[in-house]
Amino acid sequence: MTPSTRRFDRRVVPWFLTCFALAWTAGAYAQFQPVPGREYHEIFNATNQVRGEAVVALVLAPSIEAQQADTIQVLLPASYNGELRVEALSADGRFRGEGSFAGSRSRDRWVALPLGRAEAKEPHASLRRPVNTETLALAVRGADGTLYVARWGGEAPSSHRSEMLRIYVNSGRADIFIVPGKAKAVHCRPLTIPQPLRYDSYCDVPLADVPADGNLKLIRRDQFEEQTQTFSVYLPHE
Amino acid sequence: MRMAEVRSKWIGLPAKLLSGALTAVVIMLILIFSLKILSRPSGSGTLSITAATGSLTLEPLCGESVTWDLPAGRVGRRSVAPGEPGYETSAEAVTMVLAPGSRTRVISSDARVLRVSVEQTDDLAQRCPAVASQPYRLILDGAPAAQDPVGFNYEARAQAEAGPLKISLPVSGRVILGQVVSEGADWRARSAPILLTGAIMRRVKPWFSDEVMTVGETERLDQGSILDSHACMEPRTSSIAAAPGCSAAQLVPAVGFFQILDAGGLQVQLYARGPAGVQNYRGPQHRIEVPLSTALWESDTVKVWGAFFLLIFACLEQVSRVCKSTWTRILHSITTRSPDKPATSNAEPAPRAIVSDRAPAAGGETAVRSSAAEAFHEIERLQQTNPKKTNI
Repeated sequence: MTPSTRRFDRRVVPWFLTCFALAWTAGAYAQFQPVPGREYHEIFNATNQVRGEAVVALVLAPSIEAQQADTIQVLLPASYNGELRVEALSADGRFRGEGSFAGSRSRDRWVALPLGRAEAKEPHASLRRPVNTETLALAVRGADGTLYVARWGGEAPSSHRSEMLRIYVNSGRADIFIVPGKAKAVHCRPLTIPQPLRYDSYCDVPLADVPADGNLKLIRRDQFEEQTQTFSVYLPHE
Repeated sequence: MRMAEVRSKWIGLPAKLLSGALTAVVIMLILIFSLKILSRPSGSGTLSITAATGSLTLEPLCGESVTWDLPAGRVGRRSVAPGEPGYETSAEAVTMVLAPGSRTRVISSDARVLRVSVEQTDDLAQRCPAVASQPYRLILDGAPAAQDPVGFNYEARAQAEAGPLKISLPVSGRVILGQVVSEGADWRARSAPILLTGAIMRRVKPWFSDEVMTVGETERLDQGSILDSHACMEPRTSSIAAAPGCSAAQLVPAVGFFQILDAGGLQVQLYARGPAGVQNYRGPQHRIEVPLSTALWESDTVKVWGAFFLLIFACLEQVSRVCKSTWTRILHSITTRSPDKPATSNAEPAPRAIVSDRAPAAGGETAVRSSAAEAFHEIERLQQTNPKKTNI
């Protein structure tokens, strides 16, 4: 190695370290920002787009207090970079909140998304988000439509493996059961509202029971006929 | 003296304004109160609902229960998971006892098939002060079936050669006709048991009358609509659906019956007090009721008395003017027929007294002459009637 080369190395190292530190810091504090023109907003009695999914939303440990918060969190893969579409939806289809966010995932698996004050955008102040852990769901989808696990509120989960995952299902007004891996089938609870439109049941599954591959099976029983569907829940084991 | 008059005048003006404003406020309050009372549902109002629908949901109200005798069919225990034994049983005779806290959904898209699903609903159970721990019971071939925490499924299927099922069943409670068309979810497609046709007629017994009459236009129900006989019983969890002015304490069950149509579906006849809720396909729910004002407006007695009082009030000024002028004429005629009698009325003093008391300074001489001439004639008259008592 020549002396000139050695001198070059000494100059590069501090710059390299500085750039690395900056990149690390930026990555650690990377934020998803609302996409201009598609910020989160809430609509009451709106006409909804016709959708066609059996599994409508995946929410971790919902609570009434958390549903009133202006921030949500979503569990994303390590290298996730792009847009996220957030949708808060009531089972009867009368309430819908939607917005898009863009950014990249930081070191944390849970990424916070600021929804903002819904009341400020709603002309009728009396109409507030109809918080209810059964009839208000939260769906966060990636650009390719993949449904990710979300949670209401800005507080980071402590040990999520002990928590319950609530799966909101459109069963077509039939009995629905969920089979997590090789475990016994769990009867999902039908909603008590008379006219469910977007979804009509929810299933509570302990996160510990979700298999490593995240595959779950839905069994729909309409009177005396049965049908099955499989779907996958993304749960990173980092 | 003038200062006192001016002061009293200025004090009187605000008092008049204040009393006027108070009167206006009182009248406004009475009007608002009256309108609020009149907009309440009429106790004698009834909604007659006729519909053909694919599905009917029944929720018995507090203190009510409904018993259905059903034909032979299959019964499934809904809590039994797929693959586990004990889900399905058959019975020749099935009796369902439905109490408050249960929700029963009847579906018939085929004339030969009747499906019934029973489940528990927490919302209604919370409204009733004393609700049974098990709000539904099944009796299969005379023996009570084991309770199921989730509910039961029932299906009756007639043989092809037997023809359509002929069943008529009563309903009492909250009744919902039709259902939303669920969004697709990769499940096997099946025709949604929606509401097909329907009509609502408003009937009311007017005030002070025993006759029931149909009022307003018949409300047509669009295909795919959802009719709720108790719009006030929307779930309290939804802030949007909260119906103002609804009183859960005054819930009256909707009563009626349904039977299976030969072409498939259910023919329903229902009588509800209301307010009923009608929701067109994906539209907002609007309420249909018979308000108290309708019972008032439709009353012939109220109309006649109202017209009479209106006439009286409208002609009040004219009537008072006519009365006043008539009274004046009567008084005038009395005074002119007997001029020797003194005027007794303050309102119409005798012309003679006016002339003598208020003789103006300008015409004083004429007045004095006139009174002197009259006095002379009076003396002459007295002398003619009683000459003995005079010295002249």
